[in-house]
Order: sequence, then C-alpha cells, then structure tokens
Amino acid sequence: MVKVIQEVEPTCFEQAVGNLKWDNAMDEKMVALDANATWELVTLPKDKKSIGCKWVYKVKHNVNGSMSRYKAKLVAKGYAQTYGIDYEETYNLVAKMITVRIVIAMAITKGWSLHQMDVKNVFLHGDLQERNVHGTTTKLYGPNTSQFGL
Amino acid sequence: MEQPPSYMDQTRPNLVYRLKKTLYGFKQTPRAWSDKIGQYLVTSGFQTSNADFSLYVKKIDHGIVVIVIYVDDLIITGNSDAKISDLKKLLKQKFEMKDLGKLHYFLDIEEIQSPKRIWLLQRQYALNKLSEYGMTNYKPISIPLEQNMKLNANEGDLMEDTTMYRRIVGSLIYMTIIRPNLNYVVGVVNQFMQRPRKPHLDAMRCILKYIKHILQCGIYYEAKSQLQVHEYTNADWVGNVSHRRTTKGFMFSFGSGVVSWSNKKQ
Repeated sequence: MVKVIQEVEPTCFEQAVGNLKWDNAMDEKMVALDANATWELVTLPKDKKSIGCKWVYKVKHNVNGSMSRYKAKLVAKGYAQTYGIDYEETYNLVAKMITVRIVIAMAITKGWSLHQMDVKNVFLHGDLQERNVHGTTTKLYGPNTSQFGL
Repeated sequence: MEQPPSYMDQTRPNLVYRLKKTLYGFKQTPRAWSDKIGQYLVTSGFQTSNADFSLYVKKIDHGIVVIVIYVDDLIITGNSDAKISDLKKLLKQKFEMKDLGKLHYFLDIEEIQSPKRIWLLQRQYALNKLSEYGMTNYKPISIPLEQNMKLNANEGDLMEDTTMYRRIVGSLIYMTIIRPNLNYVVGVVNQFMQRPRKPHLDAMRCILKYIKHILQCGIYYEAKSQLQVHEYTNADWVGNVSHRRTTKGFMFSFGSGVVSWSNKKQ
C-alpha cells in the first residue's frame, strides 16, 4: 500500500514567508519571471488601474506519494477562482480524454512507443498582446480596461 | 500589475509591472500559450485535427508523429522513434520542455506500460481524494449505489455547505475518465449539484467507498487485437418512472479496449 504524505500548503503569503522551503520556491519563481522578460517596471498611467497579485503554494507529489518539489506560483487576480470554474475545467478535460484514450489505444495496437513531456512555467511562454476594437495593440495594466472583455 | 509582497523594488515601490508575457490568473492566459505552441507545430508541418484542436499529426514519408497537448502536458507517439526523439529535442530547445520519458503519469492517470500492453489507473488520485475527504478508513463496498434507490430533489435536509458537495462531484467526474462503471452513478449525484440534500451526500459517500473497492481497476489496452471499432448500446425503456423517461447508453471500443461511453436520460 502506498503511503500518502500530506504536507500542509500555506494558503497565503503571511503563512509561507519565513519558511525556508517556501522562500526558496518564491525566489526561484521571481528569478524565472525576470529571466523570461515577463515584465518591466513602469509608472502607472493616470487613466489605468493596476491589478493585484498573490502567491499560491503547491507541494508536488510523485506517483508513489512522495514529495517531489515545492512550487510557488504568482497569480494575477484576474478573476476569483470559483468552484464553478474549476468544475468547468474538469468537464472540458473529460471531453478531451476521449482523444487521449484513442491515441493510447492506437499506439499500443500499432506497437508505437508512447512518450510524455511537460513545460516548466508554461504560461510565461504566451506573449501578451490583445487588440482592442480599433485594431491597435493595447497594453495590459488592470482589469477595468477594454481588453478584459475577451 | 502591482509588485508582489516582499519582492518590492525598495527604491521604486510605487511603480507597477507592465506585463509582456502572461501570468496565471488572467483570462487570456491559457489561450496565449496554446496559440503559441499551436503556431509553432503548424509551421513545423503538423496538422491540427478537426475533431480535437489539441491533437496534432505530422506525416513524413512513411512515418507519422502524433502529439496530444493538454495545457502543459504532452503525449508524443508515432511509428518512428528517431522522428520522436528529433521532435523532443526541438521542443526542449524552443519551450524549455522537460522530457519525462515513457508515458507513465499523465493528468493524474497512471499508465503502466509493457511492450504489448498498457494499463490506465487512477489509484493515486483516488487515494489523495479519499484522504482529503477524510474517508481513508472507511470500509470498501462492492456496489456504488443501492439498487432501486430513489433519490429525490425535494426530500431530506438541505446541506448548509454546498461547496464541499460540488467539490466532491467535480473529483468524481474526474474519476470517471477511466472508469465507465462510475458514469451512471456520478450522473445521479451530479443532478443535485444546485441544492444538495443529506441523502445525496450519503449516496456520494457510497460511491467513494465503492471507489476504494475498485482502486486497482482501470482500462487495459493490448497489442494483439485488430484496430476495429465496436459499438454497444442499450436502453431501459422508461426506467425512470417518476419522469417517464428512458435512459440510453452506448460504449465504443477501439482495438482491445473501451475508448468512449455515455449514458443519458432522454
């Protein structure tokens, strides 16, 4: 039987700060964000509002339940995550699983080898460029600007 | 965006970040990534499937490479190991991807592979959920729902905390992805999502105890079979007496194992 080790994940910055593992995880993330040229520091224009951000902490487990790493994510408060939304995501995933099962069934029958990969810091790869109604590029400062309609 | 706490630029705390790349939490974030990888694959000669935009296929001479993308996880397969490792090298350079080797743990599903067969299991996910809901020590039971049990939307005490109920239903739905036998019973508890009552919660506990009973069960595909599609279907001809509705179900197998299933009340 596999033993599941439950490590408590901090729910906010105040709980995590001062704990070496989580401090390291946050440092690591900030370095990655800077290295990726995610952002630049600017003065907030008068007509724009800035959006908040918060840290989210996650303990990653291996298949056997042992701990693999401590992860800190910096999350923009673009929307409050609700169970409705989580549920929606789960549901989309169920639809996608048909494709996954068909690909696996086909690969095994044909004798193909199956491999997997994952992307570190996946969302940092997307370039942020939303267009407004006039077709010019707008810059993202906050939630009350036009590009959030999309 | 505001500067995160404790990482403020001490000399310029009033400045804000102008984002050039996306972060978690923005509504447009997931799409920005899937657009980017999609564009890259298309320029490298892949075609998107019309049936599922997360499926990419590339044909080279007599070879074929197939990719399935789910956000930051990828499955790669095809008949040429050389072509697969070339692709892996490219993706590693371009997107900082990590090669996790043979398919073994994808979207909380364990894939146990040997040369001619594969077994899909969700043991670890189920164990984690059981412990999250404080049900680790419950006795397993061999049926998910009592036969002829009538659950009614208007009977029993209303639950005060409905988020827990919704959360459990969410994870139960996720556990149907390799367990066709849960499909019907999860559909039953799912109906009461809006206003869950005590009897519905009890029914849900039964399902979780049943999951404990079938921890080692999953879908199994093996190589010896022909790659054929079979369909099985049935209906219960007005099995739901109170609504006078018929429940229909179908199941498709592809090769040796089942790939798609559904049951629906008329």
